[in-house]
Amino acid sequence: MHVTPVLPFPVDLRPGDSPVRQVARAAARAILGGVLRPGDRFPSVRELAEALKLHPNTAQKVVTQLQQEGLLVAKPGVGTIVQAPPPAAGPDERRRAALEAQLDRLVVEARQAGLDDAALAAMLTARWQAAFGVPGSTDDGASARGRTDEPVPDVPTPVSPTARMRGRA
Amino acid sequence: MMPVLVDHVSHRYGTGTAALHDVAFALPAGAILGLVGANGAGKSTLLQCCAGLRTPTRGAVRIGGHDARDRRALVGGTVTWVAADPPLPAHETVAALLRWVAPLHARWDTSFAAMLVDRLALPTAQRVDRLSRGGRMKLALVLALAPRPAVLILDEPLAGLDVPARDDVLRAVLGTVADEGTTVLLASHEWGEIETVLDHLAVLRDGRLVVCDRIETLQARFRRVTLTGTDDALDAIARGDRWLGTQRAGRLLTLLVDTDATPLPVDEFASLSDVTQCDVDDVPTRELVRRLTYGTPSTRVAEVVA
Repeated sequence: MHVTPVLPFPVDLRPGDSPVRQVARAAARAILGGVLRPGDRFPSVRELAEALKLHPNTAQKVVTQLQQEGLLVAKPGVGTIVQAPPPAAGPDERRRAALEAQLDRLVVEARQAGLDDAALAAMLTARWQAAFGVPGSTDDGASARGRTDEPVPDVPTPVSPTARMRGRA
Repeated sequence: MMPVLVDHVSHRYGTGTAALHDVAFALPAGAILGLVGANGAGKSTLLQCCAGLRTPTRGAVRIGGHDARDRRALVGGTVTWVAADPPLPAHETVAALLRWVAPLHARWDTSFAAMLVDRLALPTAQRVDRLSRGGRMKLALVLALAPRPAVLILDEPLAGLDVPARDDVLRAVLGTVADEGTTVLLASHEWGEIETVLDHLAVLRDGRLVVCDRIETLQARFRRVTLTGTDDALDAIARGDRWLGTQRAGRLLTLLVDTDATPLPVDEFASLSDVTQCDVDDVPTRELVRRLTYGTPSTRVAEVVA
């Protein structure tokens, strides 16, 4: 009996953003949060394609991107293996600039939602801890790992009203 | 692993109705093409030409270098085709039909067929004419996938299937593509179901090909520009005929720009003092498909929502 592969990390594909970005982000979250640990087997391209209903070339792009980010490594004869994230050599300036743009949107929408800066900061901290454990702790990810036998809560990404409109359009 | 070349295909039915006008595109092996268009746009005619079931009035379809009409080159299930309401012999049982068809195909995969029958929950002892509409569609898909075709042609394969069955069908197709590098041509109105599965998109309108390309190429080509500014400035810009579509909501004007036809007017708008903001981003594929399929005149946002 063929069983549809179940992925070891939750992905909720939404229209409006590239599937490669969305899946790679979900996988990175699982790896950085310790849900997937170094040495774990990462789903094959075929498994990713079937589970998420993606073109195999699209699934391949997810794996390639995660390899380039140093989160996965190809082991001939075994498959693709989760790798310990490379130590960050200080913040990545290109990514930082991309983040600034997203933060611009976030602060405007927080203000419109009637939140102040402290409330937004508290929300960010809570999200960070849910994903990666307590910041600064050497055992980051331990809290997430302790939960692996339970379903991992799929914290929905905040979606802007415009993004939601786009998704429906 | 076979590329498909649609070489300037035109087709005119005996009644004089022109169904296809000079349709030309090339599809690499392993591609999954979504063919979309309004009813009567020519999708089924084109797919039948690709399957070698119909001879174009002009032009030809080449599959791995062979003319699609050359049945000798294609015999043995190199190319398989499934359409809504598939013609199937009525009085056989599912199991008998599968046994009967298997030796006709050079590459029939018995264990794959058994796996698909199991996964799609097809009742093997049932007579074909007693199957539900969805059941007949699933059976037709097993008959099309089990020969391990190089090219798989699916004309509305999700019509009449419930949601779990749709998922099963798409997963079976994807597994085949991942294993065999099968090239797939897929016509469907269920854009939400097929969007992620595709890597190529072709749009037919009134028998003419509007676009055919990789989806990421199309996303780079068609851009959405959002402008904020004064009413007068936005009205003036919206009146231009360079845009594929415009949408106006209060102080916000959205333009759909085909950058192959019109350079992105970002610098031009930046120089206008009445335009305060100009953002460029991706067009959601769903919106792009709708625009290219139906071609919408300029609309105010209220009409779009309605």
